[in-house]
Amino acid sequence: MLALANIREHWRGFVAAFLAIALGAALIGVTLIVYHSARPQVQPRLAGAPVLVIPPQAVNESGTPKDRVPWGEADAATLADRLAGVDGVAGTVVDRSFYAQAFKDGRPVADDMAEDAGHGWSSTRLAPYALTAGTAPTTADEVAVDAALGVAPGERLEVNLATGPRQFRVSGTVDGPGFFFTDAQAAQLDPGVRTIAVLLENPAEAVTVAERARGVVGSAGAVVTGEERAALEPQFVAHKRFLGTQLIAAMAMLALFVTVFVVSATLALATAQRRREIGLLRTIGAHPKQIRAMILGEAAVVGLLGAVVGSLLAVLLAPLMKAVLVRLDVTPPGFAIEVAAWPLLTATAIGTGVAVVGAWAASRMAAKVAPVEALLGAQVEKRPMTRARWVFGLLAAGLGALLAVVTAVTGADDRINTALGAAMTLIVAAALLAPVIIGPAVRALTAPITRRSTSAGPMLVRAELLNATRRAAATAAPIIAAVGFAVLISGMVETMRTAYPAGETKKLAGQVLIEPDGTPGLSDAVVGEIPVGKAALPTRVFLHRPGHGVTVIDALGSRDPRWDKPGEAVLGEGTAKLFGLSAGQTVDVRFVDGKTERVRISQVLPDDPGRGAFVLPRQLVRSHDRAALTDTIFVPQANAPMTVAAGASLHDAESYARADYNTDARLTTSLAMMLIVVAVGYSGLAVANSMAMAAYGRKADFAVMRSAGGTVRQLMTFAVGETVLVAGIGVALGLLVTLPPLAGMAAGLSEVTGADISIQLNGGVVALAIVGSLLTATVASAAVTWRVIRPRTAVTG
Amino acid sequence: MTTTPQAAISAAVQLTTVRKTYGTGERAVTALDGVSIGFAAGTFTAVMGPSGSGKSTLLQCAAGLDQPTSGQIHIAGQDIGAMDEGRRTVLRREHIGFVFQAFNLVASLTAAQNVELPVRFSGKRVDRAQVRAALARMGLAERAGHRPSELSGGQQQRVALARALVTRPDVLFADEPTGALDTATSREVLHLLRRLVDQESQTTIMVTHDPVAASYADVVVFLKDGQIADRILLDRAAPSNPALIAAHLTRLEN
Repeated sequence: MLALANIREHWRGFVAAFLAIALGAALIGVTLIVYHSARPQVQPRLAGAPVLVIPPQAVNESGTPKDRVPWGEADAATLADRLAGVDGVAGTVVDRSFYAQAFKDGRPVADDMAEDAGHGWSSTRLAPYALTAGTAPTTADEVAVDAALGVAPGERLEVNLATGPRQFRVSGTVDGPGFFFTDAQAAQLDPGVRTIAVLLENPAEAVTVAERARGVVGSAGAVVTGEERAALEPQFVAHKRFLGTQLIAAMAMLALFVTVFVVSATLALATAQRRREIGLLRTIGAHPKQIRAMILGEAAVVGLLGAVVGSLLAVLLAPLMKAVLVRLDVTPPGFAIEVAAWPLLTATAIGTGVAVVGAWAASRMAAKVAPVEALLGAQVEKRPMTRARWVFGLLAAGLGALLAVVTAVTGADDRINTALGAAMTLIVAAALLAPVIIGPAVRALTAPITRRSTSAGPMLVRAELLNATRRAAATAAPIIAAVGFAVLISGMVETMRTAYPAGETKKLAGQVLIEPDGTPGLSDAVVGEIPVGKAALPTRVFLHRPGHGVTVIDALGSRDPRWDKPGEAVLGEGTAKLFGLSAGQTVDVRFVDGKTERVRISQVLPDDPGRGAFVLPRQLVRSHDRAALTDTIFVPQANAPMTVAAGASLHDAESYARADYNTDARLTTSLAMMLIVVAVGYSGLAVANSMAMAAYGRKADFAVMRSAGGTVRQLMTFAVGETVLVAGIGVALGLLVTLPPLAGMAAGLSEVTGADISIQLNGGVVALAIVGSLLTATVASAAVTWRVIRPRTAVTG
Repeated sequence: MTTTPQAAISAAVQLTTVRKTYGTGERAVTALDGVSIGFAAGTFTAVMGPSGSGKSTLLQCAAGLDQPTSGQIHIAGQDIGAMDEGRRTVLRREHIGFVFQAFNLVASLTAAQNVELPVRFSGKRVDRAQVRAALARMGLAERAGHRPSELSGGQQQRVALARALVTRPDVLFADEPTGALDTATSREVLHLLRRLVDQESQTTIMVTHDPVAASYADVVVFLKDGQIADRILLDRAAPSNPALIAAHLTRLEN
């Protein structure tokens, strides 16, 4: 009863909390909706195969289940035969997917799915796809293709494979995407098997047949049905989803932090303004626990309302987010927003929870209000700092400093997140310790004015701020966050923009690079034309790791004469340590074609991303991974070719570095812009709210000042002067907290790139954040002060 | 200090050599300087004194709102110095009622809800009839659904009285209850207080600076510099009580 009545009465104090929670819940809701909508889907080409058998999974270096270990050709055939004998099974199909891409007029035909577009003819039964014209391929020179490609049966078509472009005769066309070779030819192009499809006599029996199939398969693989078949999504789809999810997850995390921050700052202010009322409740028998429950109850109600509104907002915002993500090209193909109940319910629960967490400090403060405060004439702040405030403030400052140092030494992948983490903790520290700083700052800033000025304004500003440093700190807190985030994030992007190309160009100086152009990678035909320079062939290999079982790692097939020695492998120190291997030992390496080779470790060398962690002879990798493609060829300037084959393009070091970074930068910049909008938007809200609340809370003071002869103009000047001073301190603190993480980042980048990188700030964003915060604060404060003190108007509420 | 158990039990509220100082060192101010006094059950006591005499501090300590620097305070026979804040809260809830000069009511609640509040805090079931009766007794039966902003000052003060009495407290503390009211409304509230003492033996302790208000009491206690300077018993039949009290006060101030 009391909590609800209080919300009705003191709604002003809850507006910002409500809006912040609504926005936070909306962003989290959008994130979850997108996450749900982008979850792995059963590929359309497997739609007609209700039961699939897939190989066992290997783990990655950190022990997370990752790649499936393909069966060898013979193993797959045996397993398929045994499955065919199971009751209710109409037949089995050994399914393969490998790189195949049409070239028309010597140019690659764009295809997102090219890396997995090649299949055996039997795989058409899985969708199923039907012939629209012609016949199935019968010889190694024939292929059936998607009718949408516009090539008629009997015509010739150039198809690029991992070995290079080859001429095929189109035997027929089908009503689905892909290149379908004879099964024998498919087995030749990609011997390893990742799927065996089980076709049923009666499609309704999927579950029972799957159960029987499990008995046959045993530990040789897993049997999946229904939605579980989504486990077989192509790698590039998974990668795009990963990028998109990362992007929105970072935003949701920031939203969560800013929501808690804004809610706790505004509720703390609201509670500070209600001390007398809380004291009254205490005198008439409220236990401190009951006061605490009341504050938390109010927060829960406001949180629930805000979160419900936010969840509904999320439904409206999800298509917008989809548009943004599609434009950034970080969505799986065919991505469509699908609104389910769980993302909305989860967002509502999180929003409510966040409100209660944010109210924690306020509730502690309220429970400590002494009953006698009901009898005090004016609301007087006792001490600016409590012990808890000191402890948490210093802890946060220490943690922030530590994270800033970690930013300098951590790997590239974690750098942005650590810098963000450092900024978050430092912002909390600055907000908590602000009362300590505000006192001396106000004294120093106002001393020259008060000494000379004879008017009441400067004296009042000084006295008010010095006597209510906590209130001043609460109003400055959102400004610290807004300016801090805007400056930090834009500064990070700016610093990286200079750092990466500089470092890369330096590393690649004197080389030219050959990059894929319209294809997912370079074929052997392209590589063969350029005999000099690094042209590593990437693959995945499976090794036994003591205590962890089969572990998958990246390996490179190198043609560098230093490493390209038959039967030998070169390991980086990290990988050697991980598997307990040393130079001179032999190790069994299982390849994606299901075959195992024993290689001798010739050397263990310091880790070097340029060389690779597990280097094998190029020929060995090619013989076991016939579908692998080369990423980039690095050629010394002197040996630079004049032209390159179709599906590749030539770059100099600088343009390569810039282009390479631009792909990353596009994502980073969009992420940065989204983060800045979120952080500044929210904080602006809180700034306006806390200024308004502060002005309302001082109605009585204003009345006294007016009766003491203050004109409206003088009081307005006083209010605006105070706001500008507090906001200015907030801006200064906001700038201050960004320096350690940015310095850490610059130091880390200097180390990595070998170039001297200094902190770069984005002047426009910095100015905008500062001016925006000051303006929001001043306008809000002036507007409310005007409402409160304007002449001859009875003010209610 | 030892306490006389008899004194603690016979009085509704018993203060024994209570000292209260604010601040430390040279800036220390002594508000109460070894005050010992008992307030007998069923009596109406007025506490008077010049400003700064410690009368508000006396009330706050006696009611357990503030902790004395030394000395003992017994309310309903219990030593409140030995209690933690939680237990003191329960004691206040069960044995003490309060009325202040102003800001007595929770602005967001109606008159009836304000009256219910102490019952709700104690976790007991709210008896609507009891709440209605408490308001009716104060002549506010018609105003149960009104918010404080819709009530006059005197009405607000009577709602506060109804709330203070709804739990049937052993002691009612009133801190300048008529300080913010005009003469006619003051008289109404004081009559109500007097009637409660006469008809229901409500132990009442009131701090005031107004001799007229004090004249409604049975006993007037005068404080000066944190010590009890005088104590007079009033003859309830005498009409000249206000003048008598004013004379005492004037003597004290000079």
